[in-house]
Amino acid sequence: MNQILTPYITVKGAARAIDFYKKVFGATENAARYTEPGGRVGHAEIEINGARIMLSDEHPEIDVVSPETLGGTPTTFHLSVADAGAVVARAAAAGATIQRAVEGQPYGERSGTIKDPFGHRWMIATPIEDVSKDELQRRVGDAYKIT
Amino acid sequence: MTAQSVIVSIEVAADPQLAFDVFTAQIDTWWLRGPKHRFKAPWNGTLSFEPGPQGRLFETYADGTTFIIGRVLHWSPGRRLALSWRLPSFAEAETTEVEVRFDAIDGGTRVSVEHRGWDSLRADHPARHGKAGRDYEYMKASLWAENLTALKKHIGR
Repeated sequence: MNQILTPYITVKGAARAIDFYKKVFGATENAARYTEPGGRVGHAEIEINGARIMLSDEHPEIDVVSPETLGGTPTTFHLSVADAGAVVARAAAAGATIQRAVEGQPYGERSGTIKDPFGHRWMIATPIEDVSKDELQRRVGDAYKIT
Repeated sequence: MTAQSVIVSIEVAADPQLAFDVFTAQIDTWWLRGPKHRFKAPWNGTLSFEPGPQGRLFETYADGTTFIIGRVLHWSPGRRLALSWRLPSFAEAETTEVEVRFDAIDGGTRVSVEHRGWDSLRADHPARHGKAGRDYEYMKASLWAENLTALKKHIGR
């Protein structure tokens, strides 16, 4: 296992969230899941294209709360997939909100942004070309200085 | 203190009937070895699961002696299993209970273990290893997680 930085996300409804990530992102659940008798998930792990993500339900007593409780998220997960359009369509059908539709980006990918039903934001991207710094500067013009 | 437990579950690539059969009949093959996971010194025991509603789970040692871990309390092949569960450090009247569920999912079975009754053991019981409450529950749960991961690997072979 070479991944040494692993996102550990909090959701309201971890079991449902895992089902969503399986259905929409093709996630697999290979590790043991810890659930309290009342249904609260204390720990679970999924893998999306080999990348591991840990997740749990909210534990407000130890200040572990979800984007729903916080009223937003400061973090975006960037996920590379073979067909961004198909994944975003699947996400929307499963209850995600499309924040930015999939379109070509100057930095060489087709990508769009969704907020999943649990409040986490994902940028779903398909790489389409390598773009040099000079070419990127030409494309963005005066909007950004590329360094 | 309220009764606590943690349910540990894992997905395995076998239908519920096969998962149940492997869990029981092949327990000595997949259950992890060594002092951390086996029941009694000198840690050379073989685990056996006698099937059926009158069945037992026990370890047999090289000298021919046995230690009975538990007796079957519920036996529904392919669906649910429950048994009493004792460690060598338990007094005669002390016991816990393990329930194992086998739920069909896409591509296999979710095997879920709930190990209950630890809260009835006194606070300084050796089986607690100095831990209490949630810390203790998660220590027990992580041992089950290791063994269920071993079950998953065994079934995946």
